[in-house]
Amino acid sequence: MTVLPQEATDIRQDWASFLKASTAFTHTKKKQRTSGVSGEPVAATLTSSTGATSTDDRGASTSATRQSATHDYLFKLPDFSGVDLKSIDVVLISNYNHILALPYLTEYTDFQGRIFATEPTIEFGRQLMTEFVSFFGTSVSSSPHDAIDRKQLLAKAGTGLYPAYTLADVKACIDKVQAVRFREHVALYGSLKLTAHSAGYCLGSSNWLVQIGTENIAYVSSSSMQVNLHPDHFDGSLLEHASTVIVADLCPKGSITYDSGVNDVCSNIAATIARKGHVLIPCTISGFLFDLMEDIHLHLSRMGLNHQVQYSFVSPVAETALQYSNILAEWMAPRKQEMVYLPEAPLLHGILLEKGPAKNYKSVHGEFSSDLKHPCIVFGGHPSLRSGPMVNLLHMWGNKAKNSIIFIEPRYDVPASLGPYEGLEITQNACPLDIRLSVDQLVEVMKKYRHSKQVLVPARATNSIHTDGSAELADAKLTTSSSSIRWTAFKYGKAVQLGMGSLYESVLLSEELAKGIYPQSFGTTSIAPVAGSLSIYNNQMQLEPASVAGRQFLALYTQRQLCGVMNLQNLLLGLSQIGVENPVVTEHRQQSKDSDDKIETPEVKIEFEIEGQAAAFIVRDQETVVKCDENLRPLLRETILKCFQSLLSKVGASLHPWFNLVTLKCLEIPFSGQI
Amino acid sequence: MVRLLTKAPSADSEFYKMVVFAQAYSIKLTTLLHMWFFLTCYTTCGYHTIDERRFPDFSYISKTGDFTEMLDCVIISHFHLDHCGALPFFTEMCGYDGNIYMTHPTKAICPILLEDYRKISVDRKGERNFFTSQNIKDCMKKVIAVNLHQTIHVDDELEICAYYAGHVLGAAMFYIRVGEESLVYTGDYNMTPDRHLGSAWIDKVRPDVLITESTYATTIRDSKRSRERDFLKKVHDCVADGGNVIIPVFALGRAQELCILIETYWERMDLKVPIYFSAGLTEKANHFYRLFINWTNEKIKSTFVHRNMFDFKHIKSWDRSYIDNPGPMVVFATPGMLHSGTSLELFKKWAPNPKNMVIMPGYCVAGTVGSKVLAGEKKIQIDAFTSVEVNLQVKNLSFSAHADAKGIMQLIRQCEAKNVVLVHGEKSSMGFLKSRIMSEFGIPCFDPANGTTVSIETSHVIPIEMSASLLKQHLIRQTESTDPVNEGMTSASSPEESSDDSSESFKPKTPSTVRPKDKVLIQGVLVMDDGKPIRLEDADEALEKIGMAKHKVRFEVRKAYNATALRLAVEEADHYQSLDTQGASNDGDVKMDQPPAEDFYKDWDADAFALDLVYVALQRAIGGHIAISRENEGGAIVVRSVKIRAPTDKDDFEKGGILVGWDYQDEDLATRILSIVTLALTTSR
Repeated sequence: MTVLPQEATDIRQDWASFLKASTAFTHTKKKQRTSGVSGEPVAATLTSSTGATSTDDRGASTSATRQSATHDYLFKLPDFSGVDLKSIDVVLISNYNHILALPYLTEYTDFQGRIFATEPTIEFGRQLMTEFVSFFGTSVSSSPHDAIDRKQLLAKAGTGLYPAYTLADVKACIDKVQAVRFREHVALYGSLKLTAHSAGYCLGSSNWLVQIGTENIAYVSSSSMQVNLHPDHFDGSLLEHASTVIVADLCPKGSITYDSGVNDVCSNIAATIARKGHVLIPCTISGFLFDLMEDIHLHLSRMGLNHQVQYSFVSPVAETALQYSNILAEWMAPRKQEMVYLPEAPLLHGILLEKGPAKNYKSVHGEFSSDLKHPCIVFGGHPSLRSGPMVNLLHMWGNKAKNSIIFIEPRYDVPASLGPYEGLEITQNACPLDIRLSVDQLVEVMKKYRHSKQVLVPARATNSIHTDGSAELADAKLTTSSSSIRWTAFKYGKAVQLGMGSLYESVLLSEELAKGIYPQSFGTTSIAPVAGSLSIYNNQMQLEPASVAGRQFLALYTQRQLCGVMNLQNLLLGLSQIGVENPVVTEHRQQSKDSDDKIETPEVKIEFEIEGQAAAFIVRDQETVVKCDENLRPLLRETILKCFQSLLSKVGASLHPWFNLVTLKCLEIPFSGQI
Repeated sequence: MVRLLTKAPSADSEFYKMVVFAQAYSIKLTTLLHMWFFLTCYTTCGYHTIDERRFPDFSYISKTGDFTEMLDCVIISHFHLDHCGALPFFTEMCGYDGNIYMTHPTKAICPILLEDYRKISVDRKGERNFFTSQNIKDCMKKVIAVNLHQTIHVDDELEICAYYAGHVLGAAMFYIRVGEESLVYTGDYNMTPDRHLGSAWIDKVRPDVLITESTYATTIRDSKRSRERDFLKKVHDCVADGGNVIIPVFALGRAQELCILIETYWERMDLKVPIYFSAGLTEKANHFYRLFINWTNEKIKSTFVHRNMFDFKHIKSWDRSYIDNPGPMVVFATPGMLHSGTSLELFKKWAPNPKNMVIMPGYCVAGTVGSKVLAGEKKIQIDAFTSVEVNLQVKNLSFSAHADAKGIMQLIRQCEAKNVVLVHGEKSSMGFLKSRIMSEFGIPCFDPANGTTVSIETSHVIPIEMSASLLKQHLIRQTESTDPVNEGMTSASSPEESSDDSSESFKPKTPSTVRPKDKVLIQGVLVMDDGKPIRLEDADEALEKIGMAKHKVRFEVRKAYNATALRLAVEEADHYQSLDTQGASNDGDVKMDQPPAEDFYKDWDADAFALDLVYVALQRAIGGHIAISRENEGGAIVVRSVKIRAPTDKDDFEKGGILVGWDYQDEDLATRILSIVTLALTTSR
């Protein structure tokens, strides 16, 4: 699709829809976070979080469907209803937690835009989707009939519940995503530039800098400033020049810190292992789990328990996820990068897998039980406990109090997950580990990158919202007022208007055209008239000399301007120079004839005769009217212009006769195609 | 000369420097006032095994030795010693202290090769004044690792970006940009994917200068498959005959591909002949390949979880004691040019026996034993005391992962270079390629000799910021004023100018050719304020910025015309017209017609008629570009501020003409209109 620039410039109103969409999806926390930006540069940020859906939705749906023999799981989708999906040009995926609903968007709607994500996001996203299908998919067979039916279902159901997509959908969807790397510049549609910056949240997690013309908008998704994690550090440089910052995913207030959470997890595990119990940790095999593994292993070693423990990763994608994560050194923190120069696997599980204490399994059937010799720590399954290996394991081990189950994923409601398992004796611990930015951290970051800007935060992160739209942050001790930062809250389904300031597009001025430009300076400012043909290609606008035909056309639109104050004396002098004798000068104080609706202004009328023809000047405050016969026109025009030209610099005149640059006060700017 | 740039008078010479010190080439870019690239390109020997000039002559860069001041950064394209061999020498012994960039795999593997190189040079050859192990470590600490496609801002003006080059693991081409000028330095690259690496790829970055290697400038190699078959057949024949095969290779890179090739062949043919790999690096090298699997090709990447291509079953590591083992064997031996180490040792031993075979897989630097072997010398002087009879079979297998002529052309096309500089090749073949590039792409191509300077003029563009409202205003105007057929800039009177510019000139009026406009005519005022970006603004806004009061001048001009002449002309025309119609009917009809016509002429309003004429003429001439409207009362024609009307009693003018009034800002439009009016009223037919 070729995007016409007129669309490209129509930014302001589109941003409303952008924001509207963005708020809509952040707040509902559905499945996927996508932020779209488009050639009419804009679009939608569809946000959602992990798993299948927000937990209560799924609780309801799955328990409802449980009775039916087919095990048809239904999911609530992100609410696409507020957005015209067809008009979205770009979708940005920040990390693999926000990709799970993407197949619904690409395969079941008329969405046609482009999708960008980092390589690890794509790969882990694919794995998560595969896992999702194997846990919740209806059946392995995905006949074309099936697909058609579900498409119709989607079309009809509005924002209802949907069955899981199929593996074929996953493949088709992933194929549509274009891989980018951190700080790779993606230029689109001539005026849009996208750059991914490291978010520090997980491997390949990104925040996005969207540049439209000369305006910069930073989209900050799940980010982390937690030290000593394996992903590449949070890269705040995108905030440096951003005039608007949209913060989409913050750690809820009152969360326990990651470090203390990890301590809890480790001590719980150690206690369970010490009493020869098994530990179940329902989680996806990705993200901070890789760091947690190291912490757990270290803790168990210190406790002397590491020889009698076995780590099991149970998931259809466990092997791929574990292997793949270890070849992503480029996406890791410098500390981890150093490891590959040794060369050594940067993440500990690589070594554990090689040496034996850790194993991965596709499911709990087969090898898993035969390998089981020691107390076992099982990672995997789905945190909702509705499907996957955790279901079997809970049946197997759930009745013994010496075993324990630890919930570490922050985005799930633990009681709801455990709902169907009431009465199990297994020890239950909830230590949600949340590494996302807290409001305090956000304020700190913003302070560091001081630059007058507007920051949009989710409404739930704020205390109160003022009538002017500015907001007070919830947790922060030292907020707003003092700094130049303006905090604004966005809410579900509500459009936010962004003040984009004056917009400029970056354009290149060709050398050929530049050679014909002769600027005239006025104090510190120089100005010069320019006319040319603006071509848009290679994602770059370039102003070049216009063609002959173009110049003719331009001439029709040429606007000359005169600046300054008409000096009557000069005018009379000028007249005498062209041979006018005894002009009749009369002063009127009446309504002018030509501008009927104007208020009364003093005017001077000069009537005279030249070359036998009568002519008149009417001089008013900011206006001069010339009345004459056509053949006198050039002569009188020159006379008038001379009044403005009296101090014309010689250089300017000799260089460019058409450029009637005048005194410091007076200026005429024609825009002929004189190039 | 671009005058605009002189706005900052002190900046009479903006001087950017940058040396790409990779391989033997140091490229020094100097951007001068007129933004031309001065490109010094010298091919000294980065690492020359036989030359006493071990290291490049860095005095080319700076006579005073203040390299850090002189260079913005150093970029290493890949880990081959001829591209990074002098790095520790440069940083630790010459004192360069600036940024050094290389990719992650290069950073990982480079120190190993450097250490190897140091050992051979110092321990075996007894070189002095060489860098130490500690030097290598210190040097590598200064290296900044880069990712592919990641744009790195070296300083305010200079940015670099790496692209996949495919030559060896981690090889990269670098795109370097200063302002609007850019350059691509390829290092070594390969445009055809091989068994473990993908092919080089670059965005359409349109560099002003492309500096490309041209090792295989004239060779267009036959298909990969047949070369592989050839290679395997030769090896198989030789071992079947009881001969030993020596394959000199670099420890990393090509060796891995050959290993994969031979490994799979051995497996398929179920051969038991031992294969050895001489360098102790193999294990480690394979581990690197495993960790950097992202840098290999898609196939290996997709299967690595289940089967690592770099776990070889048949290939074992070499031990010196094996040299006396009987029976056939295949040995991969380092280094690749037979200048020292195991490969030379084996070559000396096996050369006299015609059953044996040496397969030279790569390019050999002139003067090395390898190059003499390739040249077919029968007796080779290895050093002052030793000379060897060369009886063994010599096969030159062009397996080296350099781009061939076809590949080089492909890269030029891919990145759309504006100038090409060929380096790293033989003079004659570079000349051939040069003429081919010039004729095929029509772009300048250079093949500078060592130490010479090439000046390339680049077209200079100036980045400015254009007010979006200005753009919008022009776009809307040009869409409104045009017909459904999209030809905003087409002047109806200029069909003959169609050669000028496709989109701006006349297009055939077939509705099916509607396409988006890619050119927009713009006029505005450049506002230059010290320290701020140059901006293109709407004239009104610009004038407001410099705080000047506008003065409006309105012209009211009487356009006299000869009403009688006009009337006569019209009557005449009518007469002829009626004569024409008369031909179709009989005489009586004419008389019937005449009286109403007479009536019409009686209160014939000359001015109204003139206005009609003018209106038609204007529509014909400029109606396609600009909106022309007519007022209901009095029939005045309005084109923007230009108003053409019949005089009324209020006017001070004497009768006998129509009045044309306009604001001075539309002077040019008015001039055009006046000329059209004159034309319309004088030659009314």
